Amino acid sequence: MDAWVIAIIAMTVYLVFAFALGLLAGRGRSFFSVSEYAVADRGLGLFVMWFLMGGTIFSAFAFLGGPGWAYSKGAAAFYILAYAALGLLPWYVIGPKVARLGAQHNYFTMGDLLADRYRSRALVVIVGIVSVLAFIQYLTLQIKGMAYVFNVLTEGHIPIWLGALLAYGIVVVYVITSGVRGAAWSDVLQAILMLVVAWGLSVYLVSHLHGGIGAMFESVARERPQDFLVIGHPGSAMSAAAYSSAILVSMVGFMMWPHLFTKSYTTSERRIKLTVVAYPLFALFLVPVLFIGFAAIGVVPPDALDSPDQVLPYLITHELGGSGLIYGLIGAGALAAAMSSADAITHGASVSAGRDVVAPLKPNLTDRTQLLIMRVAVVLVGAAAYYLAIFGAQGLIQLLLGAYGAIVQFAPSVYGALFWRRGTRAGAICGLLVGVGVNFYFQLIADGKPFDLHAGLLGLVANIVVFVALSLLVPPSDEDAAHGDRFVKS
Amino acid sequence: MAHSGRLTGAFVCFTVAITLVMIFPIYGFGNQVEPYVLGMPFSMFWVVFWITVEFFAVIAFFLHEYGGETSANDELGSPSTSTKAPPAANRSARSGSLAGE
Repeated sequence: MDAWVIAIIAMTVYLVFAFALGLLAGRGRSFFSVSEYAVADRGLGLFVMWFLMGGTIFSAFAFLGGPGWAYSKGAAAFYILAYAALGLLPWYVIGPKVARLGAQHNYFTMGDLLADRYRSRALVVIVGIVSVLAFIQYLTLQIKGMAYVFNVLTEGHIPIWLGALLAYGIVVVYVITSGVRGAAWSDVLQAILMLVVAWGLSVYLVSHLHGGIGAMFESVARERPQDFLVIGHPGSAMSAAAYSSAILVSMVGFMMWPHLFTKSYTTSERRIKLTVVAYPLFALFLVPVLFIGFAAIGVVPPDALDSPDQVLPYLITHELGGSGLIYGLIGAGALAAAMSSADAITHGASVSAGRDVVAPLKPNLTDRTQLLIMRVAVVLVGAAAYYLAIFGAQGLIQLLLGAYGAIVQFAPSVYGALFWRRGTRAGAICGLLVGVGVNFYFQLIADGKPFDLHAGLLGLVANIVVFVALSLLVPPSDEDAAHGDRFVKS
Repeated sequence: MAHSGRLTGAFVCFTVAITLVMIFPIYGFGNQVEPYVLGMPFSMFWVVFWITVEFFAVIAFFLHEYGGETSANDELGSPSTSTKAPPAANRSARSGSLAGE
């Protein structure tokens, strides 16, 4: 039997298993409860919580984009380590507070909190629309990742469009039926599989191709220009400002992803803090993943790849001998990485669309109708991302950074809601609109960016200035200030 | 209240500090290929080193806050109820926040 046939069989076995686990996770739970679908009735355990949050970082962007960047851009890839290590820190402070407010007032989404604090439906609808658009971009990244894996590991026998359809179709089904619990339990399986695969592969490739980490980097230094392993030098892939601002935007933006923010509602304060405690460890787990990319330098000729993001699957098919079983195992690990994030994102997007966009525009929806809308949204968002994944051209990490530029714009409203009693509705809405506008202008329309800073950071600065200035110029009424005070003090 | 406020303040300062060492200008000190440490170029070792520091620091924060508490407290009650009605033990953060309400 050809290696690629065995690979397909192994990956299929994995997909069936992941599918069954995702479906079983929702068994015995109410299919028609918004609280269960959205926040698992606020009862997720620590173990699941770790993997749910960990799975977010171990996504296609880390597993494929990480080696891709290390291979093609060198030191710029360290950004991934810094971002993974820093992203969750703010949760230690805001998470418990959000959890308390959520349990008191029965919130399910970030929009619920903002709607209550600023007493504005318009704000929530804007937040919902921006989130769904950013989610689509983020999801595109994951679907592309799944498609690369299928395509390269089956030696081109499964075309990109079919690989993406298979893997993502399964995600869509178990998110629809099992909600957040389906995503969480699949993540446990997927995170473990991915870690085992990544570490095994890294140890093998580094020693087999170079004989050790030191020898590998010495070879990198010989093969590439001397600025390859540093930031901001003339020959480096990234300027100091671009690197620093990308880290800042990712760090501030991380917890602003509605699907991560919502996790504050799914568990207890102590578990939130324990999750933050474990997170730097997840960042260290990524170090060997980057080694995979560095190991490829001097081994994989650049013109052998359509995109640097394919470097990992390429190494597998060319450097590991012809064992189809190994292809399949590693393929399953990579699929795991992409699927564990895709399910969380799809779930988050569906809750945002149903609860933050449709519900405020059409009040008095029953729980059952709201759930129906969320489940329809799963399919629509998935279709949009699928389309972009097949026809869009951006690399995996560009997609991620682009999505962050929009998401980070929620930060002023959210932090304002939690810590600043004087923040006003007008300030929050105008700040958000200006921030999103500036981000899109510099991301898509303008030719260059001032000082080479990340467009999201430029938007964020404009956003904060408008939010603070408007809130101070038109101060809240005494009643509004007292209302804001309750959030600051809770 | 004052104690929990100080703790939060300390955590915020720690977050800012650990972020600053990862970005320029401070990252400029680590941003060089040599010396190689543990086989890694110094620019990579710098990042890994500070993440390790961060890991132990966050553990220290957590132990400081939840030190003498057994984990059974949390695992027995469902999280939603324990959030609403925390046991009055030495949970400085929570008792502080309750005092504020």
